[in-house]
Amino acid sequence: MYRYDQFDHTIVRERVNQFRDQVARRLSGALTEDEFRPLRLMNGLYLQLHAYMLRVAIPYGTLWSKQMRMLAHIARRYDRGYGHFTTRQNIQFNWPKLEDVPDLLADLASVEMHAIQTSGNCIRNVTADHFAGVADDELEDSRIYAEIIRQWSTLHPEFSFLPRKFKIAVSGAPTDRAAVRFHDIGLQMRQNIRGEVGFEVLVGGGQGRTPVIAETIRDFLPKRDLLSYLEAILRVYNMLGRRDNIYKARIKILLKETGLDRFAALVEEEWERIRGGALDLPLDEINRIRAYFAPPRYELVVDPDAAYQAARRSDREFDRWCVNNVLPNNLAMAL
Amino acid sequence: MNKKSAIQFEARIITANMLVSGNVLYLDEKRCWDENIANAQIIKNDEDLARLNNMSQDAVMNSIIVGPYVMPVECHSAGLQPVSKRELIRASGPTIPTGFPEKGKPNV
Repeated sequence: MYRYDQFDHTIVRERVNQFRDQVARRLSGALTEDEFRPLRLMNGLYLQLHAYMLRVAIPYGTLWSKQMRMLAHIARRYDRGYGHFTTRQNIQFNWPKLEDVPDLLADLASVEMHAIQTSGNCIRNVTADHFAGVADDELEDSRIYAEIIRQWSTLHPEFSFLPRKFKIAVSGAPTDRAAVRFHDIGLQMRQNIRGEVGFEVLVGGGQGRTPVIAETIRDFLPKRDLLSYLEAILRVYNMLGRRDNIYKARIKILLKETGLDRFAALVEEEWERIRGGALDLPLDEINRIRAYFAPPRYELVVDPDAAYQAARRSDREFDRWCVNNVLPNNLAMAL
Repeated sequence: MNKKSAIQFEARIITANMLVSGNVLYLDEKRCWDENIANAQIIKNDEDLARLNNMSQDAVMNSIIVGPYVMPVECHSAGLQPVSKRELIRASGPTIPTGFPEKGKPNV
């Protein structure tokens, strides 16, 4: 799984300190609720029917044991002893006190976790296939590209006040376990006829009160152009998306109003203007990010494992658990 | 929430959330913010409304509450009951039992 570098540590720590100051000013009355609301939302903190709710990102759906223990500690210390895992690779705590949230975020930061951009009208936490990195059917590890998008989109000044929230998912396998067709942008890894790996780009999907299946805006996008093409989509949406009606503000509504062809033409026009520039994604950069996902040391189990097979035969409950929870992986190739 | 009985009359009260905890609060007869809707102060007339609104704004300025607003209630023999489903849920708590205790309370 992804491990923070010094820059990540610094940005998360500084964000905690910044929010601590904002909370103190809110509690003292120096900030009104109208002033504070966008600040707390950028840090994943909602005020819901019964209490505050804090949404914490679980990047790409994986946790190391130290992080899991910290989530349990947070649930016990700051909440009511439980959390709610969401369908978009987050966990939500439903009863934190406002005054406790800075300390809670500091505890999260100590295990490389945060709540940045888990709410608000910005690019939310990027999600990926939860089997990414070990799935035996993947073309490439989708977490690498999700992390590249995460780094590009975090605190992106142009896209911090979008018309509405914006969700991106990446799948590296033909079996879509990331629900890419139900995201504002879905990236489905594909191989072209030359054997090069890139992305089919889908746009305008979503659930909620207006469920829409995303449409393909580009059949094949080279990896090198990933960020410039995403920037072009976001820029068109940011300029043309409705801000007068919260229920009409998602990109799926814009797409319906403009039509896919017209929307795609606007994106292509913007992309041609910016591609090959500062957002170019060279192979060296992809490999640099890949290095942050170094796999753990796996134990090679001889196949067929007699003890495992015997346990499945003798224990019906264990066998049922295996049927539902054990899947083929690609580690045999790596080992 | 008590089983619904016959409506005696309809009225309005003021509700908000506590700034520090987010808890649901009602402006009560003692001019305090109370978590129990049964103690809420009923708005009797326009003068009452103006006075209670001013008190709410003072509580906002003093960083006690967030987002006060007037909500309709029904007065039953059993007490006050919210009219809308949303307010009923706000007053009663989560609709899904978690099976977990509140902080500092035993799990019964």
